[in-house]
Amino acid sequence: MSGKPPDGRRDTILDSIADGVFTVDRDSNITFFNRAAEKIIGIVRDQALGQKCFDVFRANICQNACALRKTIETGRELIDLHINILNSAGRAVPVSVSTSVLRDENGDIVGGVETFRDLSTIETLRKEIRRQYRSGNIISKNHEVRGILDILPDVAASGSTVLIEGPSGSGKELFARAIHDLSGRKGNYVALNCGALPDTLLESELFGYAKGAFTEAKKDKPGRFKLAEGGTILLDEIGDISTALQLKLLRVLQEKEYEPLGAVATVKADVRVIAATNKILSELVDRGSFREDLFYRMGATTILLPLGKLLLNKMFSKSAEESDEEYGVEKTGEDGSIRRPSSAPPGRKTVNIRGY
Amino acid sequence: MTKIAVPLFDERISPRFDCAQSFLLLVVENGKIVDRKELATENWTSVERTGRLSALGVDILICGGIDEVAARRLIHNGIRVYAWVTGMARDAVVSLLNGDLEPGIMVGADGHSQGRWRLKGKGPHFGEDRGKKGMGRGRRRGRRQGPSAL
Repeated sequence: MSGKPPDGRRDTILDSIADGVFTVDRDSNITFFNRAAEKIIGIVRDQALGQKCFDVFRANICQNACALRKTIETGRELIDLHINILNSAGRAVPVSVSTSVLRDENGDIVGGVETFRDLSTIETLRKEIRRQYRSGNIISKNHEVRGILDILPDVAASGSTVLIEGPSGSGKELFARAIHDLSGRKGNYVALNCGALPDTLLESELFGYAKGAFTEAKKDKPGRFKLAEGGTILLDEIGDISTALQLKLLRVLQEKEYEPLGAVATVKADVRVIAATNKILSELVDRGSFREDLFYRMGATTILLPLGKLLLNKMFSKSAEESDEEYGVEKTGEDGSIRRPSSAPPGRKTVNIRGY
Repeated sequence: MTKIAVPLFDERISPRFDCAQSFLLLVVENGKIVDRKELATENWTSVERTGRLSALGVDILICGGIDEVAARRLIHNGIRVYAWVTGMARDAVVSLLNGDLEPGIMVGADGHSQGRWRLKGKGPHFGEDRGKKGMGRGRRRGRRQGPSAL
């Protein structure tokens, strides 16, 4: 019995598979065209047969880098080349193609065969997954972070004060920035590391000072709150500020006003405050080093960030596009070992909203 | 005067408007081709192609496959689009000048139609909405005269 099925059986077999298949002779004329090819391209078989393959397949590589031509010329098969074709409805369809040569009884190359798989569904799913993984410039596969990303637009829209707790490097500032970007507030986003400045300097940085407030104060200087008017201010390392300054911040949060150093007039503040810390503020409250009323005022919405030990750099040090290209968000399985901040109490919710 | 553009694949009509590396540009007056040049379009985006054709004052585009967005943009700019045409560029222009060209035909020697593609879908790229400006230009003009030079 011959190893080759008769043509009729061969055609039936090729018509039963979901991948598109067509064959060409050495002059690029189509000699076989299966049912899946009809469906994917949108051209019926009897019209395709005898036509130039590029007039039917209309791939973006037909003119400059035809895979089938290359295979026929070199005898080397190509596998899983991702390209797009223009279907008969005028839409680009992503496909994966593989090519191989056809030989006669003497082993001479008489043409080529191209198989192609419609990747539309896969691409649609890929885009959907990418959309779910991303919010602004933040991209993550960690289910806890994705949970936060899901709720981030609502948090941003609420206008409430937000407390972000998470270990160093977990991306607190990126989340603060994303909340500002998503909030639609017209003013500036201003960030200040409260732990980096001594108390007196921090106060003048936050609230500014009036001319003559101290010896070097030759003129009025606006503080960070003024610069963030109508926008958002991130107070990073909030757990490091003194109790005296905590009281002043409490007033800003409660009364929406403050006084610059040396000024007599009160300044109204329309500033959204986001506080961030790598400490557990509730523990500082328990120890008496952080005001309980300020803690509750700031923590109307609390976001607890986990530290993804593998995804750390991927997630936060790169733009979403760079991360996509370099790592591919569709890859799964590498980040199984996400852990909570070492100091986080067990069972604590990632997002805790006490009220908007 | 009518300006005609055809995306090229060697001497054939390119199978894709967005991938053609050059365009044939013709100027036709009284049914005769009075000017002919090629426009290199390698690495041009689809938007650049539609923009440049409009800027050049092209009236008619004869092309193979074209995406719906590009086709709509061209039609919006007043360019009449004969899409999904296959065959030699020269024969397609002869067919146009003879008044026989239609979207979706397989053009044979000397502009004779060898059949029509039975394509799924509908829309401007199938010649169903050819725009107002440019409607009819190039059709039935210089019938049976053929191009003098291509």
